[in-house]
This record gives sequence, structure tokens and C-alpha cells, in this order.
Amino acid sequence: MHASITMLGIVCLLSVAVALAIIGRHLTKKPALTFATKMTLLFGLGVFPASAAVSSTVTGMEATTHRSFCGSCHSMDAYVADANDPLSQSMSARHGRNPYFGDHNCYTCHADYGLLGYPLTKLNGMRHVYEYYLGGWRNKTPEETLADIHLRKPYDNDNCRQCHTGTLPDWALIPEHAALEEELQSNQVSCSSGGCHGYAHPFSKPDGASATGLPPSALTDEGVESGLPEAARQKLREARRQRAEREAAIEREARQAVEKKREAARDAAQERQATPAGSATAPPASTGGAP
Amino acid sequence: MNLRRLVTRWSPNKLIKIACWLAIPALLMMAWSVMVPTVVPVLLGMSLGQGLGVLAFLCYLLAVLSDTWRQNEASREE
Repeated sequence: MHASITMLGIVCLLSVAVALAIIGRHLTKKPALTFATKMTLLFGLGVFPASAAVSSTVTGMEATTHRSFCGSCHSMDAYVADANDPLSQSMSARHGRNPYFGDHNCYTCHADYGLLGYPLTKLNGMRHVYEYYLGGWRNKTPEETLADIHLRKPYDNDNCRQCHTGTLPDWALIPEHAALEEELQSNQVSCSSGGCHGYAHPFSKPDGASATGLPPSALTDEGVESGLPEAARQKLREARRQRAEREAAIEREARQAVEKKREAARDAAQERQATPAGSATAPPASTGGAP
Repeated sequence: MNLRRLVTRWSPNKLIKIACWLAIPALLMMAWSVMVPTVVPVLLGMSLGQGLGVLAFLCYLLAVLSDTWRQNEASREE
């Protein structure tokens, strides 16, 4: 529940109050149906209720994007508690601490991106309500909920990319991104798979089994590969091999450069030793010392 | 006209009364959805509440129509 009522909410409540006052007056005083009565009732049964309907719909739709709304079903208790935990390092909690959409983090990440994203997300929400009240989820224990809850379809990477754009050159410089571009586009590989950017929630199930926390391998190379299809794994290994080669080449060049500098310094020292002692004691011109 | 005869048969005052009693729960549901924005109030406010509100307004329109046609008929008879 929200701590405060928005401006539109106040408009709705005022409209309701005025409409109820007009209706109540009509029901108690029972005036004759004159033109004036009809006009008054037009406001009491038409204008103010319409204003209340519009403002309550906008307010209600806005309310459905808040984390507290998602948390109003007990199935989501653990998820909301994790997102609210200031010490949690899960992806959802870190996004929840982002000031740009903090309290809207469930909706922002789970709402489908695109033209039909909003209505489709709302329709999907209606299915959640049906499942909760009529599908038996309401009576499940927290443990049963965590074990049974799952995504209906693969998580759409476009939802990540609406903020984390993949069109910048830097994005493609990451070998994992470059190698798995196709798989990421087609959602065969999720940005939030174990080992890539990590699971979104501490209860995410890497292999369909119930997990109680992030697997230790979640942020290692092996962790990334563990959840990938064979073809993607091969591409990823190839990209890593190329990266390793590139890094080795850079390191080699750097070593050679250092070696050259050392040799130059050695040569300079030998030259200084070879020159007469009198000229060696003279101050260098660059220091600007006294003659 | 069948529609005209049907509508004028309904008492405008009764229709207004029905409209008022339909509008009251509709308005209360909308207010509830704003004050307690959780699943049930929001769903009720946006579905049943608005449905009842539309029904109430239709009853009001029918009452006005019925009253107007009745007055026309009465003036024609005079």
C-alpha cells in the first residue's frame, strides 16, 4: 500500500465525494424530474463518475507498477524482501536500489518492451491474478511457491537492452557479447544466466531445480558455459581463445617495449661511464644549475 | 415505434433511482481502489466498478429519454 495518495487519487476521491453528495441528496429529497434535476444528475451520474473512473484507472494502472503491488500476493514475499534488502547483491536488489526506477524494478524488468508491451503485460498480470486466486497459488506455502514458481517463456533480453543498449561499440568489444550476439538476439541465452550477469533473484533455478542461492560458479567462465547450448558454448570458447591470443600479443608487445627501454637505458649508462670524469661532474643543462 | 413504446413504459423516476443505487457501489469501489491500491480493490474498481458506473449512466440516459418522450406524447394528446 502506498504511503501517500497521488494528485490524481485526490481528484478521484473528490469526484466520488461530489457525485455521492448529489446522488444522496436526490435519494433523500426526491425532487421532481425537472430540467434542473436532470442537469444536476448528469453531473452526479455522468460527469463526476467519469472523472472518478478515469483518475482511478490511471492511478490503479500506476499502482500496478510498484513493487509493493507485486508484493501484495504472498507468493512474491521472498522476492520483494530480497529486492528491499539493502545488503542483497542479487540483480533485482541492485536494480531496486537504482534511483531511476527503484520502486518500479519488478515492472520495469518484467514488462514486455515494445508497442504492445504494456497491454500484454497487463493481460499477463490478469493471468497471475487468476492463478493466485483460482489456480491454487494462494494456499501454497512459501517453500512450495519458491519451488514451483517459474518463467512461462524465456526472459526477453530486449527488456535488459531497453536500458543497457547493445548498439554501443563498447558492448561488442566484450568477447561474450560478440560471440553470442545471435543467441542473445533470439533469447537462446539470457543476459541474466549464471556466469554472464548472474541470476536475477537468489531463488532463480539454473537447471530447473530449486536453488537457494547463487551457485558459486555463477560468475566464472565455467558458470557461463554451464547453461549454454553446445553451439553457443563452442562460439564462446572460440571468442575467448581469440581474446586470450589478443591479450597475449598485447602483453608480448608491452614486454618488448619495456625491454627496448631497458636496453636504451643500459646503453646510456655505458656511454656515461665511458666519457671523461671531468665532464661527468658538470651539471646537466636541463637542470639549469649554477655554472 | 417498439423502442419508444418500450422506453416510455419505464418510469423515469424508477430508472433514476436504479441509476443512483448502481452508482453508489461503483463510486465506492473506485475510491477504494485509490485508497488501497492492492490487487482486489484495483481489479474491482477497474472492472465491476466501471461496469456498474456505465450501467448507472445508461439508466440515467434511459430515464431522460423516457421522460422526454412521455412529455412529447402528453403534449400531443393535449
